[in-house]
Amino acid sequence: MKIQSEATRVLQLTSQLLKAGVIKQKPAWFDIVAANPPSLDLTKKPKSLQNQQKDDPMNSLFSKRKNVFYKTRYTKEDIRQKNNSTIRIPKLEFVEDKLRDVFYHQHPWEFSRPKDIVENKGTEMEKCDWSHMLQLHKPLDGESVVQRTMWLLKESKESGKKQTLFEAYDQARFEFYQLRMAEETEAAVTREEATMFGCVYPTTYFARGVEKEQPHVDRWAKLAEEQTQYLNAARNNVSASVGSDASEELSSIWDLGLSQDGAAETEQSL
Amino acid sequence: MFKSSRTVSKVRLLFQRSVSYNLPSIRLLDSLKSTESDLPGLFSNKTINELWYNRGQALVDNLNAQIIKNNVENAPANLEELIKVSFSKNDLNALFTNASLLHNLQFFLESLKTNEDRSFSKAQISALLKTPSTSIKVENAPQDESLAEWINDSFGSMVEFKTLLLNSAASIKGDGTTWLVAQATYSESAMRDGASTGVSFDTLAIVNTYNAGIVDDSMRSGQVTKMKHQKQLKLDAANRRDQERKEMAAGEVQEQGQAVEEVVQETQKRSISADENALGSVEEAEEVMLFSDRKLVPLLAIDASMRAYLEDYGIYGKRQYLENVWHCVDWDVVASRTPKRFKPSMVFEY
Repeated sequence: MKIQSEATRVLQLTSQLLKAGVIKQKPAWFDIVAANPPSLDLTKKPKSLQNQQKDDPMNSLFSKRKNVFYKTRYTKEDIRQKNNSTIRIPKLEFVEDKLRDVFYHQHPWEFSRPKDIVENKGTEMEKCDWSHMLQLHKPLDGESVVQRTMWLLKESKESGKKQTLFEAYDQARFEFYQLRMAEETEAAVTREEATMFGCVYPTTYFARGVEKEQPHVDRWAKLAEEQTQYLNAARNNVSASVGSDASEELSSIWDLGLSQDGAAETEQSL
Repeated sequence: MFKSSRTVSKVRLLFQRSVSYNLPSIRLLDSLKSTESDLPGLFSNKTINELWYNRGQALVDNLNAQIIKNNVENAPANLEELIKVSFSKNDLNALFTNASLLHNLQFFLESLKTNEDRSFSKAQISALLKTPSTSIKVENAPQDESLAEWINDSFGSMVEFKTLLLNSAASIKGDGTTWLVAQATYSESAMRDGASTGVSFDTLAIVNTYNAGIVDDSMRSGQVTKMKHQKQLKLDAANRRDQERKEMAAGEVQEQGQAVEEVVQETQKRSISADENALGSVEEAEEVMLFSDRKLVPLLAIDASMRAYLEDYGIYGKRQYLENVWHCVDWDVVASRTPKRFKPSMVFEY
């Protein structure tokens, strides 16, 4: 949702409209509001976006300050911040998010793997046990690395052996590589094994794409052949008009190859 | 008819006693059998008996029976020669199967040694989800310098080689063997100067064979292409028959016949012109690029089939078994099998 600050901007907007001539007459409240602008800030602020965030000023009455005075009434500034904490949305920060960010920046192709985002209850992660990398309820992916890193960190803290976040992440990452290698070898070997036992695979998407492309390539090849002939003819004409032995001058090995190929192709097609 | 052929085979049995095969002797296993002890670090005594002395003997018996049954004369005494002679011959399929299974098993068992540091036990179900070690230290790496160097050059490093070898073996679902092979390319060998005779081996590679497969590329691939070829032949034959039938019918009405012929010529023309720019299939590319041009010589075999590990390691113990096999590989044997390496003076990486 857009940040709701329109109510405090009512004077600004109205003056713009007056200036543009959309509103002909000044509203009755215009001067009064201009003299006493709305003090309540309606902007919803995330909790940690503002540095040195103060306490909610509404809680600050009658508390003893550093100096001996008690605060007995709100200042104008306090009223502007009235009930600020109720509308403030907390910004959620997790180490896991940072790990995810690092992992997927280092392994961008992990994004290209299909991911199951439909869960019945959303509690699949509870079934996972991260004392090992492979899970029964979840395929191996970047999330495994993140969760395994967190588990390793927790474990190292409990067992007393020191392991930094980087060390834990690296260990999880290398375990992930090992398992990925095994997975890829298994996929290739399984396919080969099945082929040896007589399995015939359907056309792959890649092959299908090539098949679909072929008519266009054929059409293009014909067209290109014609155009090459025109080009050669035009070039020969130009060279012929310049001088009698110009055709020899012009023929670099590339031109020669092209024209020979063209000739060969026309012979074949004939 | 049946009776007479039996008598013939009986006669040949007497005649062919000399070419029947015996179970080859493997010194390590024979000594273990005589003392009825385990192979430390890999197999129990029971497994050795089952794997080699029972199954191996059964394979030898079957092989001899097949030789007699198929009236194979002058069977070569060498098992590898027999395999070479009998492969891709339909009538000798059973013979080939037994011969190659025996050969693969023997090849595997001959390159084993004992390793007292390792132990084996039945693995629990948790072994399925076991996290692999990320250590890059490789124990029992080959000591032979030239072999180690060749492995490093071909696979990058010893740990990469070990990972690929054991992963390939672990991925085999049914019966199968994983091989370390020395590889030569005929075309490249021919291009090099002809001073050396035959092929020059420049890389090591890992291949899998399944069931009674052998390390020979012409056996390992091309099934799909062969089937497609057969299908095409059948289609051509059917077309020809159709054509003849049409021609016979067209004999009565000449003009119609000519029209049909023109149509046929037209379609033939079209198919030829379409072929010029077509890219071809993956199988065709494999056939041309990979399989027909290579010569492979096996150096090391790892039996990845269930019967090798089920008894001692249980159904979840394949990884543990393969790890133990690695530790029990006798690299001296492997080095002795290695052909001379062709080392190009300059290497282009691409």
